[in-house]
Amino acid sequence: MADFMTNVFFVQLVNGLFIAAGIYLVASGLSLVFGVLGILNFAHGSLYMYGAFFVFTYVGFTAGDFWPALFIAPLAVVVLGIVMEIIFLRPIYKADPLYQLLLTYGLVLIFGDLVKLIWGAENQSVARPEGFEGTVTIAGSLFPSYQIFVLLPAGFLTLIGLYLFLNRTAVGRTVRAATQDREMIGALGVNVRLLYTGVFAIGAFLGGLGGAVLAPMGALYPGMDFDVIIEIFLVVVLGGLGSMAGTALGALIYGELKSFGILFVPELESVFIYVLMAVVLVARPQGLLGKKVEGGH
Amino acid sequence: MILEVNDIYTSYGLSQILFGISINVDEGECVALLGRNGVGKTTTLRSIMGLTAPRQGSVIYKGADITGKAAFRIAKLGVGFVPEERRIFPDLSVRENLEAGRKAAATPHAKEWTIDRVHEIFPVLEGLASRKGGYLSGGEQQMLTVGRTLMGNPDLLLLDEPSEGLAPLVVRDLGTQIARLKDEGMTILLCEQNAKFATGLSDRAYILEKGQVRFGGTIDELQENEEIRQQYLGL
Amino acid sequence: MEPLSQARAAYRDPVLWCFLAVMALMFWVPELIIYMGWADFWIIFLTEVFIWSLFAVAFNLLMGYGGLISFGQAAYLGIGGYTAGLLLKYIVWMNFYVALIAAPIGGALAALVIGYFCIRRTHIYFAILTLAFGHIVYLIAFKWYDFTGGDNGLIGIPVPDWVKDPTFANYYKFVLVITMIAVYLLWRIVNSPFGKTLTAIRENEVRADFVGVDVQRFKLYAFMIAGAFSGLAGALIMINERSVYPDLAHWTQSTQVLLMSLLGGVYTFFGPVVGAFLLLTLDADITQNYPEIWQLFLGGILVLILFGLPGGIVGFIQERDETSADDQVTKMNKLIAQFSRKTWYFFIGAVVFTAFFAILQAPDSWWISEDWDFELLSLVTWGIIPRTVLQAVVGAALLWWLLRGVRSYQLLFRWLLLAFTVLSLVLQMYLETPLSGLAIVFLWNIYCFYVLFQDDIRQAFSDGVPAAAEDAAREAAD
Repeated sequence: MADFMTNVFFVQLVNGLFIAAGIYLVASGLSLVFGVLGILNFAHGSLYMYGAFFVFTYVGFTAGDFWPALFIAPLAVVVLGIVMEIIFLRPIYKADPLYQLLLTYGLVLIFGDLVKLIWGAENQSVARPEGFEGTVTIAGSLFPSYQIFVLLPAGFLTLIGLYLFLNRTAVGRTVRAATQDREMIGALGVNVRLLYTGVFAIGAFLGGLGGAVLAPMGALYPGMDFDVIIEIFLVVVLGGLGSMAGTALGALIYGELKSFGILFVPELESVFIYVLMAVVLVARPQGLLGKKVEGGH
Repeated sequence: MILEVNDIYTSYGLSQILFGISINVDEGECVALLGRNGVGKTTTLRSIMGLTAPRQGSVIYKGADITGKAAFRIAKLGVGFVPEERRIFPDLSVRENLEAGRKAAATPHAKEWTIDRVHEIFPVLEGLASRKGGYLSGGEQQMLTVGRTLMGNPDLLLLDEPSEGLAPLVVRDLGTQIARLKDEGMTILLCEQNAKFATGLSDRAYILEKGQVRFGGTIDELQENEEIRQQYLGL
Repeated sequence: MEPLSQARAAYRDPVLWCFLAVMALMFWVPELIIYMGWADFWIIFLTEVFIWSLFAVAFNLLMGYGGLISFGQAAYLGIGGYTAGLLLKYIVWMNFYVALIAAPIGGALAALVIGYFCIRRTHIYFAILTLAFGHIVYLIAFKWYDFTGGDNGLIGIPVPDWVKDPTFANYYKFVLVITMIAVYLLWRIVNSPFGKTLTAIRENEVRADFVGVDVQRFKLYAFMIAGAFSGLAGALIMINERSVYPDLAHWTQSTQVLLMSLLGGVYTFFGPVVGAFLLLTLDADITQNYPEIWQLFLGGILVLILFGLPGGIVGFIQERDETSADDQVTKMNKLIAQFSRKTWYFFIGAVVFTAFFAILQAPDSWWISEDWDFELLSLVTWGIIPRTVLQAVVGAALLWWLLRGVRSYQLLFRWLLLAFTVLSLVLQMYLETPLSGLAIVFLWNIYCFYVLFQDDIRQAFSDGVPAAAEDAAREAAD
C-alpha cells in the first residue's frame, strides 16, 4: 500500500513537471515582454495558438515531418509578432497600461476569429513524431515518451537558454537594465525602439515555441488561446510580474498544484488551483519573487 | 560653442515648466545651472537630452539641431546624462552597470573610457565590482551613475543634482572627482541646488527661477552681485 | 456650492428625464409591433436590449466612474442567473419575486468576496484578477454537474404563467419597468456624494486618500453595487430564456459589456445604453449572416476605437485637456495634422471593413471578374476590392476637402463633418454594402461625436467636480 502511494506520488510529481514545462514555455515570453516593454500582452495566448496551428499546417504539407516545424512555426510567429508590435504596440508604449491591455485584448478577438476562418472551427490534431508515440518506464511507472524526451527538455533548455542569454550576454544585460529603468537605458545610447521590437520578437518566439511543442499533446482549436492566457497570466503574476525566475517558480507551483489537485478534488481541480493562487496573491501581492508592490499603476 | 539652447518651452502634459530658457556652454567649460527646487533645472537637462522634447525653441549641439531627437541618438552624438536620484540599475552588479553604459565615442578620444579608468577616478567602485547596484550607499551610487555615463565616452556631461542627499564629506569627495574630470578637459553642465558646491566647480553660472533664466554670467560676477545671490540662492 | 443643492440641481438633468420618457413611451411598443404585424422577435430583442443596457450601465459604474476595468463582470451575470435559477428549480415553494430579489443579493455577496481579493490591486492587476475570478465562476458552473448541471445548464426553470404569454409582451413590460427603476437608482448613486467620491478616487487616488477617504472601502462598495445590478440583469436573462447555461458567465459576455461601454462612451451615464442598443443590433445582424466572425468584428471595433480616439478612452480619464498655452495658429495646425491622420484612418477603415464584408457576402467576386484578361469591357465590372478602394479614396478626398476650411470656419466645419457622416452612409448604400456601411458610419459617428463634442462632455463632467468631489469626500469620511 505504501508502495502504491509512493508510486502515485511519483507519477503526479512528474505529471506536474510536464504541466510546468508546458506552461513555462508559453509564460516565459509573456513575462519577458512585460518586464521590458511594460505591456501585459493579452495576445500572447494568440501567438501560442498560431505556433500550434503553424505546426499543424507544416506537418500537413510535409506529410508528417515534425521536427523542422518546431523551429519554423515559432519563426512564423515571430514575423506575426513583429508586424503586430510595429503596427499596434509602438504607438501606445506611453499610453495608460489599461489602454494597452484593452488594445491587445482587441487583437485577441481578431486573431481568434482569423484562426476560425483559416483553419476552421473544428478541433485539429498533430500526430506525435515518429518514435515518440509510445511510453517509457521510469522507476516502474509509465510515462509518455514525447513528454519525457521533448517537452521536459524543451522547457528546461528554454529556462537555461533564457538564463544564459540574460546573464551572460551584452544584449541580455541591456535587456535586464531596460526592465529596471527604460528611460535611462535610452539616455545611455541604446535604441529602445529596436530593443523593444527585438524583445517582443523573442517573446513571440517563445510563445510560438510553446504552441509548437505542445501541439502534438492535445487538440488544437479556436479558443485555446484564451484557455492558456488565464493560466499564464496567473503563473506570471504568481511568480511576480517582471521576474523571470519568478515565472519559472510560478510555473512549477502551478504544475504541481494542478497535478495533485486532480488527486484530491478531481471535479473542481481547476477551481482549486485558482483559489489557491488567489490566496497566495492576497498574502503576497507582488508575487513570490516580485520586487515591490506596484505603485501608481 | 558645444551646446546652445535657444529659447525653449517645455511642459509635462498640462503643466508648463520652462518659459524660454536660453543657455550656452563652451568646449571645456563647466557651467552651473542654479536655482531652488522645482524651477526647471532638471527639465532643462531633460529637454537637452531629448527625454522630454521642448515644444518650442531649439537645442544646438556641435552646430547640429538636436531638438526633439530620440534620447539614444543624442547620447550617441556624445551627450552624457547623469540623472538625479542616482538611477542605477539596482539588480545589475556594479560592473554590469558600468558595462551597460559602454558605447563608442562620437569623436575619437585620446583616451577611451574603460572600467579601469573609471576605477581610477572613483577608486571606491573597484572593491564593489560584483555587488548589486541596489546595495550601494548613496555616495557610491552617485559615483556609479557618473562612471556609467563616462563609459559612453561623452563629450558633454549633463550632471543633475549630484550632491543631493549626500553627506557633506561625500559631497566634498565628489567635488574633487568632478573637478578632476574637468581638468581632463570634460565639458560639464551641472545642475545644483547646492550653490556653494556648484560655484566651487564652475566657470560660469545661470540662475533659474520659475522656468526662466534670471541671471547669467561668470562666477565672479555672481559673487559680486549681492542682490541676485540673496534673492535666488539665499547666500 | 453645497453638495446637497448641487445634487438636487442634478436631479433636474434633462437627459435623465428624456431617457425615462422614452422608456415610458416604449411601454406600448409591443402593442405597436403586434398591431403592425411585425415579428415577435423584435419584442424579445428589445427585452434583451433593456437587460443589457442595465448590465452595461452597472458595469460602467466601475469603468467610467471608478476607473476600474473589470474583465470578469459576466461572473455576476452568471451568479445572478444561477442564484435565481437554482432557487426556482430546486425549492418548490420558492416565490418568483423572492428569487428575483435573491439574484442581486447573490451578485453583491459574490462581489464582496471577489472584490475583497481584487480591489486592493489596481489597474492591470485588478483586470487580471477579475478575469481569473470570472473564470473560476465559469468553471464552477461548467464543471459542477451535481449542482449547476454543468454544461447541460439548468433547463425548464418554472416561471409564473404571466411570463409565458405567447407574444412575450408581458415580460417585455416587466423588464422595461425594472430597467427604468434600476437605471434611475444607478443614476442616483452616480450623482450622490458616493458617486462624486468615486470619481474623485478615479481622478486621483492618492489625493482622495489624503483628504481622508477610505479608498478601498469605496471601491469595494462600487464593486458590490455593480455586482448587484449585474446579478439582477443575469436573473432577467435567465427568466427570459427560462434556462441558464455556463456561457452566461463566460468571458465573451464580459467583452460584450466592455465594448458596449466603450462604444457608447465611458464618461457619459447613458452612453452604455446607446452602446448596448448598437452592439446588439449589429450582433443580431452579423451573427445571422456571418456567425463565424462576431469576435473579429468586436475586436476590430475595439482596436479602431482605441486608435481612432485621440489620447484613447483611458487617456481621456487621465489627461483632462490639451495644453492650452498654444496660440491659435499652432492649435489649428495641430488640429489639421490630427485630422489628416484621421483621413488615413478613415481610408484604411473603409477598405478593411467593406472588403471584408464584401468578401464574405460574395466569396467569388472580391477581385475583378474572372474573364478580365480577354475582355477589355469586363474591366468595367469591378470587383469589390477595387470598388472599395475607390470608395475609400473618394471618402478620404471628400474629408480632406472639407477639412481645408478648418482655419476660418470652425462652426461650419462642425456641421459639415456631421453632414459627412450622412454622406458616407448614402455612398455606402449606393454601393450596396449596407452592413459594412453601417459599421463604418457608426464608427465615424462615434469619432465625430467625441471630436466635436468632447469639450462639452468634458465640461459637463469636470464642472466643479474637483471641489464638489472633495467636499463630498470629506463629508463621506466623517
